[in-house]
Amino acid sequence: MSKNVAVSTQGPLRSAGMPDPPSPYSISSTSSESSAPSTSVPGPSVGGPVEKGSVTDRRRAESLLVAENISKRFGGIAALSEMSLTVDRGEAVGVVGPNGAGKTTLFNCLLGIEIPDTGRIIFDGKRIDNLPVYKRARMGIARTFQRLELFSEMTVREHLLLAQRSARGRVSLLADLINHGSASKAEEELADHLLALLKLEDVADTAVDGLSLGHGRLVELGRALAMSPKLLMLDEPSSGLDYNETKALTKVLEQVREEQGVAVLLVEHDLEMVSEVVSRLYVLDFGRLIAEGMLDDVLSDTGVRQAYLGQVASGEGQR
Amino acid sequence: MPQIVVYGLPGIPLGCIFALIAVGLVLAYTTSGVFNLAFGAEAYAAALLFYVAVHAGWPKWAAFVVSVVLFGPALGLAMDRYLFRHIRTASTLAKLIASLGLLIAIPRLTEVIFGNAVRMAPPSLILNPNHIYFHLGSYAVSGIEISTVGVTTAALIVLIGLFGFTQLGLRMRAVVESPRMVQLTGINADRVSMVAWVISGAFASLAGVLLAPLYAQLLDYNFTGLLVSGIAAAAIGGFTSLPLAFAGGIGLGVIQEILGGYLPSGSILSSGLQDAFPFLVLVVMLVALPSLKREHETNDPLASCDPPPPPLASTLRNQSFDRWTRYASWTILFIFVLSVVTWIPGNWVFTLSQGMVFSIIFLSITLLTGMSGQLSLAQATFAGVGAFAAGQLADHFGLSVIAGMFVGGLLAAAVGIIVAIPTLRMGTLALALGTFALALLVGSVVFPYSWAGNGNSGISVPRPLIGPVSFQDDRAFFLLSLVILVLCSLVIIMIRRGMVGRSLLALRSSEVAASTIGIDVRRLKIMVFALSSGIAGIGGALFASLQQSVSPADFSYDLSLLFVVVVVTAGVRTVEGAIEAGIGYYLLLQIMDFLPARYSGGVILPILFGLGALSYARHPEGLVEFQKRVWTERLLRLRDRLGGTPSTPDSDLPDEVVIPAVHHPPATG
Ligand SMILES: Nc1ncnc2c1ncn2[C@@H]1O[C@H](COP(=O)(O)OP(=O)(O)OP(=O)(O)O)[C@@H](O)[C@H]1O
Ligand SMILES: [Mg+2]
Repeated sequence: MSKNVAVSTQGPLRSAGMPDPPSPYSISSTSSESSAPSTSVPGPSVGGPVEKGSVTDRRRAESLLVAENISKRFGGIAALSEMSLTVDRGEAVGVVGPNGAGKTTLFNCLLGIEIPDTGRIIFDGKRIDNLPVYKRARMGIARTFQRLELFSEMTVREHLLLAQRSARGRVSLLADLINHGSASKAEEELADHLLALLKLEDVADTAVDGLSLGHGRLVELGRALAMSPKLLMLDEPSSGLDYNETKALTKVLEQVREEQGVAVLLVEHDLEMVSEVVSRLYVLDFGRLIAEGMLDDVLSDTGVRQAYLGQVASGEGQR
Repeated sequence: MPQIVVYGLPGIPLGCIFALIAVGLVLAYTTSGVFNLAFGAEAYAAALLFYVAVHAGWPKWAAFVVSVVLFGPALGLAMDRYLFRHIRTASTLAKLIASLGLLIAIPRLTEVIFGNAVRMAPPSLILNPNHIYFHLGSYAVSGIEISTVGVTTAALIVLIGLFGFTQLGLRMRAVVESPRMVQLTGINADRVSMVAWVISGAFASLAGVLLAPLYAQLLDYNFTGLLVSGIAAAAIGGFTSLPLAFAGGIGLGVIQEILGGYLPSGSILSSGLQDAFPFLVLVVMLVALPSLKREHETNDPLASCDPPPPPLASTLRNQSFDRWTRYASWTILFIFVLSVVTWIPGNWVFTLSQGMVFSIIFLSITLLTGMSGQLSLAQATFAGVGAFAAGQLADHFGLSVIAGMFVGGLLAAAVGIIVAIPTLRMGTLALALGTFALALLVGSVVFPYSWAGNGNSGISVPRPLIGPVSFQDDRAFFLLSLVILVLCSLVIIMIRRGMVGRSLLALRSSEVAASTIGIDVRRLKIMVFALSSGIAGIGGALFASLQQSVSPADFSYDLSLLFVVVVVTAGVRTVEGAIEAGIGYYLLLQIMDFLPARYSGGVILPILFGLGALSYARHPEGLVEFQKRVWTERLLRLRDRLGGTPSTPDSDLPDEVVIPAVHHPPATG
């Protein structure tokens, strides 16, 4: 593993010229120095102390999600070590790394399912690291799960309607007692639209328990999209899908991004899918960030290729 | 010798028994994730066997061998082999309900086998119980104390030996983490949990035999009550540490006796607080324990290797089936009501009203357990809160019983919220144990007061009077209960069909996923718990008014346990299930009244429903509900065969295999 570490310390990626750098993505101090510091960007309304006028400050104002220094230990395992990451509005960002690298843990920390030991998270200009999961969700973070977490006994359409309602915090006992909490016209329309988009019309009124994995992944995606999120986090959406299903999923994802302009944070082993969807990539290994940068730069870096792709190949073989 | 030591010393033998219970509970819990509420019943059955054998003239050692060496472990083995092994990956709720079924069924089964004679002065294992063998300072040590401490120590040494000289302890810990992972490494997880259950059974029987002579009479009630002390001791060990559980047991026994020594004797507060102490400890531990948060069901990293559970029969809709049941139930309801107001004799009208009133209380279980997957073991207590509130308000302030009913419901809901807030957050097991503690605590400390349930004499509650209309007459009261039952049912149905119901469904599948779509899980759970306790309170008030006099005995904690088992067997997922449970149970109870006491409804029904609840993991929709569906479908198929167009795909599926939902594409094109 020493090779991986070498990648991050030498940092050839970061110095390799980025094609068009509108904002400084790199977090390492060297690249911050090289980019011009901005001074006049007004500070966002955040709870925590913010160093005025720094680069970080400007990035915070522009970025949808800023996570800084996130660490999480499980007993003796450092699942995440000082991970930092940003996602701009409408941007698609990938996170890759071998099994056990901490990708799912990162998602869990961002949403508050796990409470990170250190670090802070800013979403849409507000500190969210003290908020419970449901509040973060209502602010506009939606996710899918690596292992399907569908609501058993509910139909696909019910998933889409419930997610719309709950994401706005509008589930109420009173509404149920008055009119069964039945969906409004707008809610029905969005559900129909998503069903059409995800090609789930045929199974719209089927309980999800009987669905195939491919359909299940689409329902999870639909459930997340029904929340009209600002950020969509996908945890290995292609795992368990065959080539064609993955292709279809990629296409849907492109369509959604075009339509809704939602930002995407994608965890994925399938590098083909990753390269089709994202423009920027983070590489994790043993909970550490070993590389980050524009997609092509990271992928063409031989260190990452050898370390990561070699790893994936052997990891894939074991599964 | 200081006074505190004198007070505390008699606590040691008592603490030894608590410790035995705690160790037995922890053993089973750590290896199979089953919190074995039936432990008290195991202990009772062994004690009874010992009693019967000794009274049949057997030497004590032979009776000991049969009850503790053979019966206890065999029962543990059977419970593991035929029940708990098969539901190791089931939800906490399913496991709790299974053990609850046994807790209800076993004592009544022994009654059928050995009769229900009054059994005074249970024999002690060794030594003469009341003889003073020596003095410890100024404290006289009796035979029973020596034997209890001695035998417990011996059991402990055996256990330590077993753990020290084999890899059992290590393997047990591994099995807890992931039974499947352990299987992969070549250890037989089934065997490890089997050994744990056998030891647990031996400890249960030992505790039972030791405990029996501490009471004047052999009663299953005492054993269940003591179970809570054992649970509290186990909680001190975080439900996982054997040494801490053991130490916790001794400590509890000693402190309880010290409390008894210093508190003024004879008052409700003294006896109540002494009783209440273990529950307070349990509640504090439940709230403080972080380890409980992670429940077994979510822990197993290989859990996804299991095939998904079969879909629920109740979710599979069949239009023609729906139509049939709807027609049938409306017709039955109509005939039923018409009959009651016209020709059914008065005592049966009363029984039916009783059934409907209990149906209302049972609806609270439908809402809580069936719809939100939580388990409360205090529904009878909430009913009692409603009943006593309505009664006292009518008595002191002349408040109409109908108004009192709603105030009682609100009060019950408030009590529910107070319990729910600290325990709900900790998960299913904590809520179940917390409510169990509440039921015992309120039953022994609050209800006896004259301002509440007024002890054994109870309070009287009038029948309602709405304007000029009096419901004094049983038939009029029947109609009133019917209306209230229909209203409560409607509320539940509306909730189930609405977004709150969907949210609950979501919650039951995956709390994490539910919160990631913005559902405030905690608030939702508390709301449902409050609503559920409120409905139970309303039902309780109505029950009080029906009976016209109620006492705390009408709402004792064991009734709550029975309620759960009855509803679960009839069908906890549907409103019909609750109504069938309520009316069915009390009707059967009345019908079986003519049987000899040993086989009366009060004995046989708990056995049937208790055993029925064992199938909960397999048929969460309820046995009765399941059979109803199977039979209706047979009828439908019969109709199809007799001509008419087939309404279901014509396949000869065995009954266990569920027929696909109507919207699935048909299997045969
Ligand atoms: N709840 C937990 N308790 C203990 N350890 C955990 C927990 N969750 C994750 N871990 C550990 O943290 C590390 C990172 O796990 P994580 O699931 O985040 O990896 P991942 O990158 O998502 O892997 P994969 O590609 O297999 O999904 C692993 O070593 C894992 O065993
Ligand atoms: Mg993962």
